[in-house]
Amino acid sequence: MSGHAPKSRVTLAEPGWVKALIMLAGLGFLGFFILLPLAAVFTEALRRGFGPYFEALVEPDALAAIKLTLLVAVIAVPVNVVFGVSAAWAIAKHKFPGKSLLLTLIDLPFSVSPVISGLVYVLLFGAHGLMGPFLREHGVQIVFAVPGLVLATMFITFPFVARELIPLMQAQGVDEEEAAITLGASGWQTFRRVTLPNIRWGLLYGVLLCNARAMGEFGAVSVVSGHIRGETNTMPLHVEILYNEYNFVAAFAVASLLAILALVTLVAKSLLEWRHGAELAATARRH
Amino acid sequence: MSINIKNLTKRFGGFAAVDGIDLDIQSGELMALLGPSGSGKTTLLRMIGGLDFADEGTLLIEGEDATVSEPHARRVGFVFQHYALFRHMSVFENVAFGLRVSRRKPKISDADIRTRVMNLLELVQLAPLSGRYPNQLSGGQRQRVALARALATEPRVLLLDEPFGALDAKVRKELRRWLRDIHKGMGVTTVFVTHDQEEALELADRVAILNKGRIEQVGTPAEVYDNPASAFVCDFLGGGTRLDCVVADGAAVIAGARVPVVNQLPPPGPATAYIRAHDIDLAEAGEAGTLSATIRLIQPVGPQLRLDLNLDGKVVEAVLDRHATTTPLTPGQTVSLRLRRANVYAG
Repeated sequence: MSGHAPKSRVTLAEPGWVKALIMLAGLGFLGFFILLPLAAVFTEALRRGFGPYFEALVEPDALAAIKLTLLVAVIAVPVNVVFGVSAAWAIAKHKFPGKSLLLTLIDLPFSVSPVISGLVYVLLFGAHGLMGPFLREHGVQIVFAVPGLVLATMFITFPFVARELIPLMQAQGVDEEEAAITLGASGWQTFRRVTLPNIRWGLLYGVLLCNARAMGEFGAVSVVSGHIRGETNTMPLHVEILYNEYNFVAAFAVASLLAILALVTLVAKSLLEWRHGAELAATARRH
Repeated sequence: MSINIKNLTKRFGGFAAVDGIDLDIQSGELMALLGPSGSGKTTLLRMIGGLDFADEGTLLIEGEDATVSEPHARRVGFVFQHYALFRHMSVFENVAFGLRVSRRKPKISDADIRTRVMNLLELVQLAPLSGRYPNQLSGGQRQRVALARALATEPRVLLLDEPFGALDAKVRKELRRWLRDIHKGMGVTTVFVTHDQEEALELADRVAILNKGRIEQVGTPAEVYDNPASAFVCDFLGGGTRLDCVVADGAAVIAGARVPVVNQLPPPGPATAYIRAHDIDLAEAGEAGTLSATIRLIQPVGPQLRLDLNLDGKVVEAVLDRHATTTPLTPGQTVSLRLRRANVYAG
C-alpha cells in the first residue's frame, strides 16, 4: 500500500456538493445504525445512575452469566487456536486429497444459521437425541449444561482462526520451512521456530475475532442452553431474559459490557492492522 | 564428498520431471545442472537435498545410500533461489539456526555458536550487519547470508538453486567469482542449478545439460561448448543460427558453400547446421566458398559489432570485432560471408 495517490487522481474528483452528499450519506448511515445504538446502550444502562448500573452487574445471576461466558471463551478459544493453526498449516503447506473439502467444511459455520448449529447438538446429545440414552446411562449431561454451550460456541467460532491464517500461510509459502529442514530442524522445531513466529500477528488477530464471537454468540448457545438462570445463561442470554422481564437498566448494563468488549476488540484490531498491516494485508480487507 | 546417482526418477502425476538420470559427481567438484525451465534440474537438486524423494533409482552420498534418508541425515547445505531467509530473525540468528537446532551431542555452546557464526559472517563480508533483518538487506547481501547459513552446519555437499537468478548483472558477476573462491577455499562438493549457460560455463568444473528430465551431456565447459553432443545442447549453449544443409564429402554444404564440421559428422543427406555468431567472417566478394547476404541491422555493442544479416530469407546473426572491421558497412549493403565452422546434426 503506497500512501501516495498519483496526482492524476485529482482529475477524477467529483464536484464539491456530490462529495459532501456522499459523505453525509455514509456518516448518516454509520451514525444511525452503529453510533446511535451504541449510545443508546450506555444511556439506557446509566439511566438511573451508576449505583443501579453496578448493582445490576454484581447481582449473583449476572455474575454467574459473566463467569460462564468467560469459562466458555476460555475453553472454546484455545481449542479453536489449536484446531485453526493445525488446519491452516495442513491446508497451506501441504498437498493432500480432500483439501478443498476441508476448506469448504471450515466455512460451514459461516453458512449455516446459528440456530441450526445449536439444534444439531440437541438432536445429537439431547434426552431424545441419538446419543441421549447412552449419555443418560453414564450420567453425562451435555445439552442444557456447560458442555453443550462450549460445543456450540466452538462450532460457531472455529472458522475465525483458520480463515485468518490460511491466506497468510499460503502467501508465505514453504521456502522457510524447507530451509529449516535442510538445516537439520525437526518438524516441531520448524513449526515452533519458523512457522509460528511468522504467523503470530495474524494469529492474534484471529484470536481477537474468535473471542469476540465466542463471548457474543446468541443463537446457537440459546438453543442448547435451556436458559437456567445462574447456571446455563451466558451474557447475551442473560440480557435477553432481563429485557423480556422489562428490567431495562439491568439488561442494558450487561449489554454495555458486551459493547465494551466489542470496542476493545475494535481498538486492538485497528492497532494490529496499523502496526502489522503488511503481515495481515492478505486477509485484513475481508473483515 | 562424491555423489552417485543411478536411474533416478521422479514423477508428478503422470509427468516424469526427472526421468532415469545417471550422474556421478566427484568429491570437491563444482558441478552445474544446466537446462531450460521444466527440464527437471531443480527437482534433481531437491532430491539430492532430501526435499523431494525419488520414485525410482538410487542416490549415494559418500557411498552411503541416501535415497530415502531425511534431510538432516544427509548433511547437505541448501541455498534457495529466493534465499528463504527467516524473516523474523536477525542475520546472526539466521546463520546460527542450523547450530541451534543441531542434534549433535553434546550441544554446541553459545560461545562456540557465536565464534562460528561471526567467522562465517566475516567470510561473506557481512559481520557488521549481523544485527540486521533480512528485509533490511540488498539481494546480494541476502544471498550471502543464505550461503553463510548453509555453510554453518559444515555440510558435506552444498546445493544451490538458481543462486544468482534474482540479482542484477553486476552483483551476479561479483557473487560468481566469490562463490568460486569460497568453493576453492573450502573444497566442499557443490552442485548448482542454473538456466544461464554463461554462468554454468564460467563457474563450473563440469556441466550437466538437462532436457525433459534427462541428461543430454555431461562434460567440462570446454567439452560441451566445443563438442555439443546433440542439437539441443548446441542450441542451448548459444548455438547461433540454424540453417538447413546437406552433408556430403565430409563437410556441410550450405547454399552451395562448403563449411567445415567440428562435431561428429552425421551420415550424408539433409541435416541441420548451427553457426555461431563468432564463426562468421566477412570475405572479399566473389571469393570461393562464400555466401552472399544483405545487412539488415548494425549494432555496435562495446567492443563488438553485431550484424543481423539476411541470407536467402533467413536471419543470420554475426559478431565481428569492432576495431578490426575496417570496411565501412551500411544497412541494405550486400556482403560476402565465410562460415568458418558449423555443428551439424542429422534431421
